[in-house]
Amino acid sequence: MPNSRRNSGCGCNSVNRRRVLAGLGAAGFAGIAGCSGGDPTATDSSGGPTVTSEEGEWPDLSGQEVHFMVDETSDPWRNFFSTVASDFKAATGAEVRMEYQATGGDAEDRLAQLLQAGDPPEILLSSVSQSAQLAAQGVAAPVNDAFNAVVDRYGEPRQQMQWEGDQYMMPFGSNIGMFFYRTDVYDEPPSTWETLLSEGRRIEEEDNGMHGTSLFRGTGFCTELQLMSWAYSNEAWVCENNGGTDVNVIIDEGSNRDRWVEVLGYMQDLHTISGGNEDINCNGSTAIANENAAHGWFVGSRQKNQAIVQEKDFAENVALIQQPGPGQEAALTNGLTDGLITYKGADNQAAQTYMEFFAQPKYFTQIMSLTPLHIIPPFEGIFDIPEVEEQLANLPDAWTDQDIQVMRDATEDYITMAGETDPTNPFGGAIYGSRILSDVLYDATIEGQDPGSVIDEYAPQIQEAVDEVKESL
Amino acid sequence: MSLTDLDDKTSHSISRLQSATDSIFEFLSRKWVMISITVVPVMALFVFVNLVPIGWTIYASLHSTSIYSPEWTWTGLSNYGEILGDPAFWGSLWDSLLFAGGSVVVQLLAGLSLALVVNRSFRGESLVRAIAMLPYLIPTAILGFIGLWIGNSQYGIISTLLMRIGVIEQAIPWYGSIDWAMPAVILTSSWKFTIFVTIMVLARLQSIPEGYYEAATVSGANAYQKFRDITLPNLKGVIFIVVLLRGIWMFNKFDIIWVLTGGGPKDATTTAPIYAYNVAFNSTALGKAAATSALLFVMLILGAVLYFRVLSPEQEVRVE
Repeated sequence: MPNSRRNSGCGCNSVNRRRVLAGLGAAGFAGIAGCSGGDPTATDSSGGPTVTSEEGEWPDLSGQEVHFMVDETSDPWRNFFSTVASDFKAATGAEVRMEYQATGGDAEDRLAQLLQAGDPPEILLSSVSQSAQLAAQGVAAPVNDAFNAVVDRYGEPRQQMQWEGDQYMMPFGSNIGMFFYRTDVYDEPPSTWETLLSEGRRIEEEDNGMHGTSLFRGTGFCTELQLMSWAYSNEAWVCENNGGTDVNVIIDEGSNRDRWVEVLGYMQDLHTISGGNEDINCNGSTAIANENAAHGWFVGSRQKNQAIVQEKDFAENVALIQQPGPGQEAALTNGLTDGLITYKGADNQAAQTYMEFFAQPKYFTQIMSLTPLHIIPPFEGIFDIPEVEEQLANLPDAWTDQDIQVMRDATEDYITMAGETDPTNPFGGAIYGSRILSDVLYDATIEGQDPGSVIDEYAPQIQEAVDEVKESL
Repeated sequence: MSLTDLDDKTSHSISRLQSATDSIFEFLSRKWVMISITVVPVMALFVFVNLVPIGWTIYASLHSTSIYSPEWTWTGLSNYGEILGDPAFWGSLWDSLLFAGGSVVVQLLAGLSLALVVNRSFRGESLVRAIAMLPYLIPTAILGFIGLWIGNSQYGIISTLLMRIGVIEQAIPWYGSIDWAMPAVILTSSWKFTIFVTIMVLARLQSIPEGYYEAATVSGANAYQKFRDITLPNLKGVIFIVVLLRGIWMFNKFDIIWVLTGGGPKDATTTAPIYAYNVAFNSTALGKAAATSALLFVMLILGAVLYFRVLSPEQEVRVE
């Protein structure tokens, strides 16, 4: 799909060199980190002392501490981060102080405390939207050294966060907006807007207790991500960026407004084959597993993984499909990209060393195993690492080669709201946080209001949300 | 050493011990010492836990600052002007009053009724009290997620049950409907906090002398008359206190509403604390959020003063 607006935040200065290195192929990946060996008393490129351990050659950071904050509370993820922390300490001598915050805002509260106290963490696992805002606010610190070192290993990542020529995020992984459907219920793949609607109506009329699809309409982040997936599939944008922080909301302008009207009109159609769902937001990731719907969406693979985990006999019939577009297959979709960022006032050298250390194939392989195909590695080449290939081969049988290929293909066709504009939009987080997009969908579907009127009513409110954050820059 | 010598030594030691004890008591009895070891720690705690944050909030409210930046710019009272001129603030204030008022009424009626039930002696009384206490012991966030689970329109037990017994025809999205969200949030929070009223009322009920009821029984009073003329007058004081405390606490309540609805759908449950949170963490305007908090603080103080002036609850609270 042609998309002139798509912005991956390309760091073009060193592309040629990186591409040459990336072109050396996957063979190099397995031996990238931790195998250079060498003299324990050697120095790194900056002239500092290095140490050699089982993890390879790394700068000696004895006595330093890396405070790493992450909003993750599940045991497998904690164990994973603890393992990396132990390995890092063994390699560099630096302590890693892990701080786990609950998902849903606690990390932001804590971050605000630390920044106000002048004691920022060395590293935060953050979304591209948040890192863009923090870069624009002058709070985040560039990570060019670590970023360039990792790009030299793997090539360009799919999504970056570049602000005024500097890289501010070490990509960690992506959740891509994917669709899932029951092949035993759908007669033909719902790969376009039209086929989804016609098939969905047929399923709805059969009245077998399952809805044709599951359109989230509760107030919240997932509802808005889903709406934006549909919007991007019709090339309907939220903002334009005229440079720096000169960001304007354009949902009510010209042909873009027309495309938004089409999207909301289509949402009204989907509403008729989707049940109520007024209280369904991120909890809708189990719609297919719970047999509420024969078709559903989520960022990542949760719809299918849930069916597998719940040992549903139809799990192998849950197929992945890329974002349907109007009259076309595999349209552009929405996604999330997370990465490691650091802050001014923190120990940026230690932080960047940690980031570089983290970006080892073995850790990306472990991430893939924690939640199969849910968090996609940020570099395409990682799929070619033998360990990752083995990991993919060992997925539950319900995951077919076709599913894996669809997920890989989707990695080429997604953007984030921050990456919607060129240069990066630093207000994507503010727009999602305002929950106005939830209201847009609520009025268009639950209230059944005219899509054009809804667009015109909410455009100034979204602009206001952007302007409020702009004032704080 | 003779026995007499030993007696003298013992007597001397006791005398010295007595003298030391007296000195300690005398030392402790000094006013400044008593103040130092009793009042000062509490005052220090009060200053650091209450006064410093209040002072910090008021100071922050006079500045323009991002939540993520330690750089503050003096703006005087402009944050207050902006907040007071924002219709969303007044809407959130109305939602706060609705939530606090509704919650206090539900908690008071349910708590009072529960206290009257568990005050009676019956088999399994301890078990009933323990069960009634449970929601209060569960962390708010967990209780909120339980509420979301049982209230879900697709798989929640409440809608399923109501549909099975024919009360409703289709599932209600309790927390996702503009019409139902506020009542649902009030009922869920009351599920947790009602027991506080029960405990307070129960403590007072058990201190009413049994003789009052016996005398009333001898005089031929029925159950209702005993409740009206003995129980209720004795509960007035505790009810006044409970209404004040629960009113303030529910007005300021943030966590359970945030977990259940996040302030939605649309602005249906955006109470003032949620408004303040959004200003702080979404608009990243720490100064404005602090101004909102300071305004709420002043409003609550005024409300409490009015409450005491108009209703004079102190006259109803018996000091024994």
